[in-house]
Amino acid sequence: MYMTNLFVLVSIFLLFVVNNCVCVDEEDFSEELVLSDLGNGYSYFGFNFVFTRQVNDFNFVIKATSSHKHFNLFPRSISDLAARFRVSEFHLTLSQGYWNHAAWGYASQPQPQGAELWAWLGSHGSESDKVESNWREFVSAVSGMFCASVNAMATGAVATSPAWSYRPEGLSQRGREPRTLRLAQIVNQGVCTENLTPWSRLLPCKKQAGIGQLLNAVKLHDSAYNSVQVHFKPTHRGLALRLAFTAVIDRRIAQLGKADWSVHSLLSRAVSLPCSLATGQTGSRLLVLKRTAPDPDQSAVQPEPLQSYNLANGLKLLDYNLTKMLDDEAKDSVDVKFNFPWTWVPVERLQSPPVVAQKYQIGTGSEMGGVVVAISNRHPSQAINVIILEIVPWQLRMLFHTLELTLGDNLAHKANKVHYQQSVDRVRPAKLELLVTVPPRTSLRVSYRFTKQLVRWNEFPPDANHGLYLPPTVVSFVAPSDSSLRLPVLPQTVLSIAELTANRNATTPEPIFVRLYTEALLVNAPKPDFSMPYNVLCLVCTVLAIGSGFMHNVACKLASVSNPNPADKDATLMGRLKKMLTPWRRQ
Amino acid sequence: MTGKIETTIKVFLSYHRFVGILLIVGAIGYMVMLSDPQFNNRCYISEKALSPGVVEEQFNQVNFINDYYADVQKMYTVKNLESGKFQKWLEEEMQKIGLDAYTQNFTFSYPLILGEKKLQGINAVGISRAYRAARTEALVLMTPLRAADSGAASHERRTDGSVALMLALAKFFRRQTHWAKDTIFLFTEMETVGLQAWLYAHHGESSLLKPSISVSDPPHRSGSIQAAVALEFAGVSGWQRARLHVEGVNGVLPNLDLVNTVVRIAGKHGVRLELHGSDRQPALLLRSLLYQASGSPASLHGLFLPFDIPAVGLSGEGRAASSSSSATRTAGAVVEAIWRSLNNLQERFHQSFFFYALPAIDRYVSIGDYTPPLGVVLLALALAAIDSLVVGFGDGDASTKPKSAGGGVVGPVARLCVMAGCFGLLALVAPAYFIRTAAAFRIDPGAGMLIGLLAVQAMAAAFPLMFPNMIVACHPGALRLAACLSLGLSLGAVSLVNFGLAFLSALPLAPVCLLAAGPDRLPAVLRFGIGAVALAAASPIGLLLGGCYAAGGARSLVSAWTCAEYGALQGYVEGQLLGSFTYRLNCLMLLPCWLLAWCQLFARAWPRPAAPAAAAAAAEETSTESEEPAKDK
Repeated sequence: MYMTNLFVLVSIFLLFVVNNCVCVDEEDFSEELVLSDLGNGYSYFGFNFVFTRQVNDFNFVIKATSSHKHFNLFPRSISDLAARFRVSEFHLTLSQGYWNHAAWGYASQPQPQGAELWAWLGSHGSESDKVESNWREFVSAVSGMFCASVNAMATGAVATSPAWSYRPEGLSQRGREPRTLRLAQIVNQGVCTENLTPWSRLLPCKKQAGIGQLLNAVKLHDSAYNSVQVHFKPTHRGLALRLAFTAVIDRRIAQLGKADWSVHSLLSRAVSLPCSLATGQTGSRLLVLKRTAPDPDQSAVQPEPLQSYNLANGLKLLDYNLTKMLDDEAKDSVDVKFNFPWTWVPVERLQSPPVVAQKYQIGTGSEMGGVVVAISNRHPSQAINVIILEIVPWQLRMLFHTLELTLGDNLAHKANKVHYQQSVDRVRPAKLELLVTVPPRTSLRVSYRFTKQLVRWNEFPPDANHGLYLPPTVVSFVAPSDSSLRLPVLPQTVLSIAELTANRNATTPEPIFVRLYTEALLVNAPKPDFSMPYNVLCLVCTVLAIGSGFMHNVACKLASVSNPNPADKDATLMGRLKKMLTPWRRQ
Repeated sequence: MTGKIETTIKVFLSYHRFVGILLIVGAIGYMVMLSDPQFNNRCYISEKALSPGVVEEQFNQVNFINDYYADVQKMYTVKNLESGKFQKWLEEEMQKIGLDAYTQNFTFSYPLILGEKKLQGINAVGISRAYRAARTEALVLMTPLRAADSGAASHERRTDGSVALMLALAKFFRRQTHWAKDTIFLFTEMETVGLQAWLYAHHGESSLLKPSISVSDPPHRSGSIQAAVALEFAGVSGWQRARLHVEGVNGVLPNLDLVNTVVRIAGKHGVRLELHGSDRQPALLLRSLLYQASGSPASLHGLFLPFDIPAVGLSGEGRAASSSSSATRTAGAVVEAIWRSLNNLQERFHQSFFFYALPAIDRYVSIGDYTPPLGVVLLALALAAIDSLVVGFGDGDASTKPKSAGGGVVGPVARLCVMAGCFGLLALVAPAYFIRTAAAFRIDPGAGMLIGLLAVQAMAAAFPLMFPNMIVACHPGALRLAACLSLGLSLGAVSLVNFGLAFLSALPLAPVCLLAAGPDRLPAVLRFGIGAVALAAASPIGLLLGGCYAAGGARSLVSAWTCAEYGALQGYVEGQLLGSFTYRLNCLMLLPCWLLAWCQLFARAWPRPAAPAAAAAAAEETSTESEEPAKDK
């Protein structure tokens, strides 16, 4: 009896100890695929995999290493990354193609061509000195983690910290802690399966079950636009991570313009197994986003959704709960079919979003160049404040005095606020931020010129003749609530559509913060002749220098053995002092 | 020892005219030799990424071409083109295909020739976005819009074939997934004007075209243009034989890799490509140089080259041999293959040659091989210059006399050079007035301009007669030095910009300049007569007329005159609208150089006078005085 009691006690004690050590934070995972017909034969696929993790002591997560914590769903590598380099929020995107916002509307997370990484790094107290090194190491770690060669972002010559265009999306831990922003873009970074593979390994069900089954790299990368994204931010409860993949497929190319399309017809995959780990608030869902106004999306969707919601801004959401559908109806797989014969509508005749931006290059020759950013406010009555961020690599020396803002037809315009930082060669890029009010039904033209520098020969990339990339202009604004935002715009403040549907009150239109990216530009930079004769000259000169250098030494220099002692004597402090004083010595 | 060397050099230099002529003949011989396959090289692809002809072309949609061709036949009339209906139709067709298409209006006014009239034109443009790329790079496929109602004289030059082909290719390209660069399908009206308007507007520099062309901003754009191909085909199956155009404005050539890619792909598909309509060896090289020298683009593609965009032109030659579907398919497959190759490009065209001459379509002469002949000609001029320096500027026998009758040596020659330059400026500026005056007399601009230029030339020729003192004051040796040096330097400078122009103008001008003084043994009158005829023939106007006469097969003087009218006007107008240098160089460099040579003729004919007796005596006195101390020393 006594022994039994003791055993029970010990067991309870053990249980207590174990429970205390493997203190599992509450974790949550849900997944969704948003489908939408963007018109003109473009189909939108938005994969969202949302992880949340409740943390009681927030400071603990950010500051201390989480080595003794247990993780079930939340990718530990991401959490470790954030903790190790004091990153409170980061957004990594690798995209290919151009998000054609004039035709497709604003994306919920629009991304520029190439790679973009922006992060808020903790910079209070002793950490303020370590921001640079933290950023550098963080970039290297991210680079390795997602097999992307973005190491160049680590250098100050690429990274900047804009003042207004980027704000933290997550809650700042304990509200007021100082944080520093680092933003870097690399335009010519491609996206491939080698990025998608490490990314998909972070998913709890991998590509084996649930939405992940649809991640067919061959089909998804063969698209007009695709983007691999990692969004990590703190929330009021703890941490939130969203792994997203966006693709826009042109059916004219993918299936030669056939009117009918379905998930299976475009991706050659279907969901046959529910991801049982998707136990979050919204589980595992397939959502179809339809436009109801002003030009309704008339495609007929099959099968009938289990539920549908009317959202703000003339959007309707059809909800297919995958877990339920696969369980209840005992189907082999779930597929959603669209049927709507479409004709091509030119971009000009489409109901356009309120603000459209375009960037292009002006000028000829390899000495000077110029850039025009045309931003048009198409709203019938409302003036819109836009923030324009322009980052110019130091190789192209931006001439601030040539900055011109014109409104409509040759009307000089002034920015409300200007933030400008001149570039420093090899140290930092030029940064220009403008806050401008664009009146309704007018277009703003921002133009400036730059000189193209001939850089040092060892600073040219291997493909020097390809040219230099000018990163896209970032235009941020709050879109008026009554404007018709084309699909698939979603408030960026919510984590995912899942969260939006959870909050049913979102049917009243509300102003939406939009950040959009223009085209990147390829600038033909001046370069020396890297041709064969040039190389031969360099090589021959080097060989001659090496060869003749040692011959010269042998021929002209006399080797002699010197007595080390006097040198030693002179080398000591007293010796040198004595030597200095010698001239003063009385003979 | 040094004395011996000095004498040898002096003796050698005293034969400089003979040596010079030998050198020039040698240069011509060398150039002719270069056209022989033994002395030039076979073209090779330097940029391996291009790998032309490696892909298996997928274009098989002959029905696309035939359908569009049927539509184009119906729509493509002068009336539809002028009203812009055809361009609108093109825009709609391209939009149906799924391209970002637009039409672009431009107005062209050129008061000098058109008067108050303003011409309206419309370009149609469609941008096919590369499926997986981000609008950073683009390629241009273009054709001019030239409608001709059947039976019209220009019926041969119509481009219905290339319009239909481009639409078919647009439809085909739009469905392909493997493009890395956007394709801009460009249909331009009014020849160079429309293309110029689009090019400047695309580069955001349309203000530079004012006031002659005003153009609207394009609503859609693409990235930096990597290459361009201009097509001009009548009918859809005339692809058995085609003509390749390379020379651009100012004789700028596209990268040899691009030319070579097109040639190889055409070869693969059994399309016979020709260059300048000839394949006889020395003639073809000469024609290449002539095209280059003219400074006017060989086809519309030439307008891309000043923008640093490599471009070639392809045009249909003769009539279609057959209208079989295989010939039609070939047309599509050739362009597709070129496009696949160009899409492979990782960097801008930078390997291979930018400076070359083509003695045959698949052979090239590199810059290292073709510049020596010009160098040899310049050497002949340099020898003459050195000789006049060595002989010195003394007077006759008393070569040590420091001062001569006319004051300094440099002054009179410099004055003459400035006057010669003024004639050049006159020839450059005056045509506008000639043409306006001609318009007042209802003479057409070309004739007015040519007559005016002849007048300027005649004035220049009469210049020594009008101001004999200026000639007489010059020391013949110094004049020769100035003439040879200015010609040599001008040719050297021009050769960097336009080798053809420098070489071809060196051939008549250099010997004339060397021999202007004429061989000593002939009687003075004969010497002067021969010199005058040779110099008149080598004058810029003389060359233009002579060239036109020769080009017309030396048959009709009237046609030579009309051709020269057209040539002069074209040179002038292209200089203003396309930025071609040829007319300007002819005026500001070659005419003054010619005038200096011409003056040399008179300086020789009029020996320096034994100036008025008193002055001469005074001069003698001073000279003897000044000579004495020298002797003492």
